[in-house]
Amino acid sequence: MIFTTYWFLAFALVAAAGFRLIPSAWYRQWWLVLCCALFHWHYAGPAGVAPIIVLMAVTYGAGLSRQAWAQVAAIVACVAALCFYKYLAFLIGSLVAPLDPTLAVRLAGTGTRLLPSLPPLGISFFVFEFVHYLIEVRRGHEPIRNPLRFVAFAIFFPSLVAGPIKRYAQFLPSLERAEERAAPASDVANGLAQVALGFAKKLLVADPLTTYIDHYQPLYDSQTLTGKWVIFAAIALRILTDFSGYSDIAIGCALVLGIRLPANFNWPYAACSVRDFWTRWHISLSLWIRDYVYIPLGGGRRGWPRRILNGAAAFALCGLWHGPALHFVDWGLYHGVGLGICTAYPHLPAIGKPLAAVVRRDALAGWVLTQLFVWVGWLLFFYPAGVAVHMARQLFGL
Amino acid sequence: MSPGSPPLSAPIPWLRPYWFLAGLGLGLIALGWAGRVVSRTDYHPDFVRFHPMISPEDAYYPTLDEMCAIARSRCRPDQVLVIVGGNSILLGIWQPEAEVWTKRLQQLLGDHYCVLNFAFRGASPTDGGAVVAEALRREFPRQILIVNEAAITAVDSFGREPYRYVFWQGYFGGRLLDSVARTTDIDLTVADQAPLRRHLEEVRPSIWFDRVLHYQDLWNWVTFEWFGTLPSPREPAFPGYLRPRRLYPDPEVDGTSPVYAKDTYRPEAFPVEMQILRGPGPYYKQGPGGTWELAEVTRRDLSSHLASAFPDPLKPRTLVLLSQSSPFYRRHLTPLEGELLQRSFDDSVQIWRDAGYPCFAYGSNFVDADYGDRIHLTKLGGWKLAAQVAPEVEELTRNLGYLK
Amino acid sequence: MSLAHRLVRRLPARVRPFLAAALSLLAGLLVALIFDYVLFRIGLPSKPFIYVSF
Repeated sequence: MIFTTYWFLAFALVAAAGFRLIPSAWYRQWWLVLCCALFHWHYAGPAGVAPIIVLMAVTYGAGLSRQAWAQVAAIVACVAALCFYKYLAFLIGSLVAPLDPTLAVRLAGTGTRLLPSLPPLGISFFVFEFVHYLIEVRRGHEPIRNPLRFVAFAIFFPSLVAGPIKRYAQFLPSLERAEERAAPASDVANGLAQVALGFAKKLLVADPLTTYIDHYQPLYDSQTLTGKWVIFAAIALRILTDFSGYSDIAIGCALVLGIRLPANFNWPYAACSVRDFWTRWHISLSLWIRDYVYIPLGGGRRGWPRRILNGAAAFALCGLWHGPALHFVDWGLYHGVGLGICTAYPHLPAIGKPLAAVVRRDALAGWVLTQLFVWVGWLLFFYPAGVAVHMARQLFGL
Repeated sequence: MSPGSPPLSAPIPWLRPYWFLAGLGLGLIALGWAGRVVSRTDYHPDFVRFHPMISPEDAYYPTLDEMCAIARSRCRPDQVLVIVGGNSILLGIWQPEAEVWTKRLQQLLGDHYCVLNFAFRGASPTDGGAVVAEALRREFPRQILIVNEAAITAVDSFGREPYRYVFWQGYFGGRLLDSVARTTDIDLTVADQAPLRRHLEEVRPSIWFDRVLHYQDLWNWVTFEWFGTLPSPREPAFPGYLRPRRLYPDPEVDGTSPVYAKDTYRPEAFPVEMQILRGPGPYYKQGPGGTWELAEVTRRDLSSHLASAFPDPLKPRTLVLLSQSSPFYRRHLTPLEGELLQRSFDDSVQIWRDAGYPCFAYGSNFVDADYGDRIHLTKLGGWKLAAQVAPEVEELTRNLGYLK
Repeated sequence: MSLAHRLVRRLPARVRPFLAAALSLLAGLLVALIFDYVLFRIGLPSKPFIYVSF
């Protein structure tokens, strides 16, 4: 985990101090870009740096060109790179192997020779940001002309590794302000406080929970019912504190530099509906999926059966984004269907309206149902479907 | 812009930045000062040895300063400091705390000496106690380090994981002797092993931070004295791991007790243990007279490792014990194998001595009851070991001119 | 309005800045403690060392 390394802490101190002490905006711009490049080089290595340099150049050029074909080609290139580096083995295994196992083995061998041992650092994040950028430019928004600002947007070190997924129209003004003048004391103070909160969530809550889960989850079947529920709650609490902790560190680091990043979590376990949950959990990703997958597919504009279908497709992609494995897709579909049901059930004949009235009247019922739904979903997220269903059934004595 | 960009994170409304930053600065200064005080304090009043709950096995990592503070609080300037390093054998597995062999050694040596057990399970001769002894060489110039190793076994000059952190604390903290051989050894190994290189990229900044804030000592003290903060193999669950480590007793049992008879000399371990006994086999061939000859390449490799294991000035005061295996296993060797095993010990002793270290092998005349398993001594064996080590230490003390 | 807000509004107006300053100072001290602990914690190996006698 990159933020929890001494190298990163020493680097962040020096980067922030330099950014603050350098008097000139131009030099400050260069300093930030050099720091981002050094960070990327240190953690990604040469094999990890090459893809992002190529994709950056392609995206920057396509954005400036204002040519629709160039922008579409750049989007395809970015998505293809993501599929190649992150999903090749998965695609071969799930699409080719069932049809032609021999071909699948050959392709897998070729893939192993071509691919680096790890996907390029942050590829899931920067590809999504590049795709967002190209789509917005294609819609007529102003491209980023300054190459240094584009590089800063592309490999901004606090958000490169684990988000939040930035929107360039929000990021750029904040970057420009930070370059013009040193971050005010309030930003530095709030940033440091948020970084500390992130570390506290990660090290004081998430990591001990991880040790607990790693120790007790293999013994799940032999636990008492209470023990099973404790493991279940630990899994849910762990992912929230781990992920939101990481986001807090990223947002806090950026704020110390005077740059504002979007919020990524807003008390998701206080949500009273699945729809509400997705306005509070990994907000930057859910909005990206909404804006660039769900709405282009038609969103909810073509009736509620189509809305459910679009939601399922969008969330399946959301699940797949998390990792190249079928259980991530299952998790995404689970939420897509859940979201669809959450939106559609008031329209059910006879029972729809009364049910909706009950949930509206009794917020606790909505909260309990939502959290049960979400927490059971985490079992699908972490474990193969069979194991997840088995664990869920045992919770309810089934 | 597309519908609804994500909301930006909101500042804390009541936070007054300059007061906050003042609190942060004051806090760091206070914690750094507290850490510095703790790093010079011995907070192990009942220390005998680093049993599992105060060792890396259970996520407690004694620092170099912590061990130096223990030594300073116990050893008077007029005493010869005898630090026992090495591994679980010298730590005293199968020996209860009250009867550990180092206590017997202290009794035999008397008040002119101060014996401290800084051995760790699975450690190498250059770990733990070895680093402490070297770091204290100026404060306690009259010192003897006792370490152990197996026959025909090379030694890295910079310890072994998970104890290498103590070495790095001494090395990057500027507390060890300058040794060209050791530095070269480290540089070559680092150049050869990318994971080690990456690890050192973390170690160096951590030592810089620690030199200012002394956070390792501070939080070790908190963990030992007040409350734990992280799970460990023996305490994986909350709130169990909150218990301060000082409340955990030394768990080592008496290997001579009939209660533990079923745990000593376990039959299922027999094949593996016999394989270990036959370990030196590949390094030997039979010469024309039927005697076993150590391969020249092995001899050279071993000699070169031992030459750089410790800096030259420290070699004469480093007493190396070679640990012979229990007769329970040795008598199952064929005569040829037994001869080979003995030859491996004789050769190893000679190679260590040629490299400048006082060395002897023990255990050849021990009996079954002296051991709890193939290699670890019960209190009976420990006392025999103490009886053999004490005169060696006294002779070394005379040869080094420590006591007139 | 949250409970904290309601409590703060009950305090005299003169006291509120001192309360904010005191809380901010405490927050700074707490953050220092967290950073100190973070430095300690990230240096610990993530996998425990399992001793096997040999």
